[in-house]
Amino acid sequence: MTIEKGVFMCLMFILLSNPLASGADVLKVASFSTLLTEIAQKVGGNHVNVAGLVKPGQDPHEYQPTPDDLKQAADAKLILLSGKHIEHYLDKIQQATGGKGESLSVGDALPNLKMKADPDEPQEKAAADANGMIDDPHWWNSVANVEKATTVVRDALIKLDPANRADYESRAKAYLTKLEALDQWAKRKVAELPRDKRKLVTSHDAFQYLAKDYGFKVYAIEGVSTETEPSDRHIAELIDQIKKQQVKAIFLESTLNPKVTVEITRETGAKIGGTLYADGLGEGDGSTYDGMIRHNIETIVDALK
Amino acid sequence: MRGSPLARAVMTVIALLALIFPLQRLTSHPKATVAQPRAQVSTAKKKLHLELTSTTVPFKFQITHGGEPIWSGESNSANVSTDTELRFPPEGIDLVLDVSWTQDKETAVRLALTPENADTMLKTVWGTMSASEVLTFSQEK
Repeated sequence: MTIEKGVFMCLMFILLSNPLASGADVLKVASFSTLLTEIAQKVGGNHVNVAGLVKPGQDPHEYQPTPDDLKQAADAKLILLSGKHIEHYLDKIQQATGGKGESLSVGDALPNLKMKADPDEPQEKAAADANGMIDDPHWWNSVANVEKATTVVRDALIKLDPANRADYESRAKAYLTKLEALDQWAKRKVAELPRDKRKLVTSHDAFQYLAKDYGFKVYAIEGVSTETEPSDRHIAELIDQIKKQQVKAIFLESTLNPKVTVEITRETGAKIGGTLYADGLGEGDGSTYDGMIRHNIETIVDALK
Repeated sequence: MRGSPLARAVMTVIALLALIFPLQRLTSHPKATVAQPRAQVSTAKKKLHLELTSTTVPFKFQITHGGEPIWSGESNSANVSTDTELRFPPEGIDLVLDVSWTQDKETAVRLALTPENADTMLKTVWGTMSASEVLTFSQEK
C-alpha cells in the first residue's frame, strides 16, 4: 500500500466514524448551566452539539440571555436548565422556543435544601413558600447531586436519541466513576480538618449542599442570591459569630466583589482563606467540575486547619 | 461670652483639655477596639479504645486522624485493639480506615470506638481485597 492510499484510508475511517463529520444527526443541546454543559458533553460525546449559554465564570444569578442565546435555545432539541428557581428568565426561553425543544430542569429532580428567602429581593420573594423559605439553587456544590444530575441528563439523551443508548450509558458510567472517585477524595481531604473547625464563612450562601455532605456549618455574608447587598445588622451579627466561633479564615468567591468580605476580615482578625468557585465552573482550576471541587475543598481545608 | 480675655483663654484651654480623652477614644484605630480573640477552646484529649474485627485474616490496616496515621499494622487474628488519646469535640471525629486482605473474597471489617466512660460506637465497612472509608464517630444524639 502506498503512502497516499494509507492516508486516504485513514481519512475515510475518520470521516465514517465521526457522526459530526459524516453528517449524521447530531442532537442539539442548549445549556443554561456550566455544570450541565460539562455533563452533556461528557455523556453525549460526538452525538451531541452542546451550546453552553451561561459561560464559565459568569454569575448565573445575574445572567440574562441575549437574543443570540435565545435563538440557540430555540434551535435545540434539549434545553438543560439548572432549576430550583435560578433561571428567572424562564418566560423568555419559553417565548423564544415556543415549547419546541424539550426543557429539562435538572435541579428539580435532585434533593432539596431550603433556606430563608431575602424579602428585599423580588425574585426570591416570589419563589418563597408560605414560611418565607426558598429552594437553595446551588445543588452542584454536592458531588452526589452531580452524580444524580448525570443520570438525569443521560436518560434525557437516551429518550431523544435511543439509537445511541449504549454509547450514552457507557459514557455516563465512565463519568460517574470519576465523580465517585472525586467524592472519595473530598471525604478524605475534609477528614484532615477536625469537625469542630468546619465553619465556612463565604461571600454568599452557596455552600449548604457541600456543608451537608462534608459536615460544615455555613455562615454566609449575603443571602442565596448575589444580587442584593447584606444589611448592616446581618454584617454585625456575622462579625459576632466569627469572633465567637473563632473562625480562622473566610472565603471570597470568583464571581463576587470581595469588598465586604475584606472589611469583615479587618474587623474580626480572620484571614482571607482564598477564592472559591461557588456558582459553577470558571477560569483556571475551576474550568472542569473535578478541578472546581478539588480547588474548593483544598482551599477550605488548608485555610481552616 | 462675657469676661476678661485671660479668663476666656483659660476657659477655652480647660474645655479643649476636657475634650482630649473622648476625642482620642473616637479617633483611635479600630484595631485597638477589636476584642482580642479568646484563647483557643481546646477540647481536652480523651482516652479512646479502638478495636478492629475482620471476617477474613490476615489483614493489613491503617487508621488516620487529622491527616496523620494513628494506628497501623498487620494481623493474623480476627481481632486487634489499641488505646489512644485524641481530641473528641461534641461534633465528633473522623477516622480514615484503610484495610487490605490477601484473600479475594468479600469481607467485613468493624471498627469499634469506646471513649473513656462512654458507650461503644461501631462502624462496619465491606470490601473485596481492600476497603477505604471515612468513618464518623459522634456522641451527639
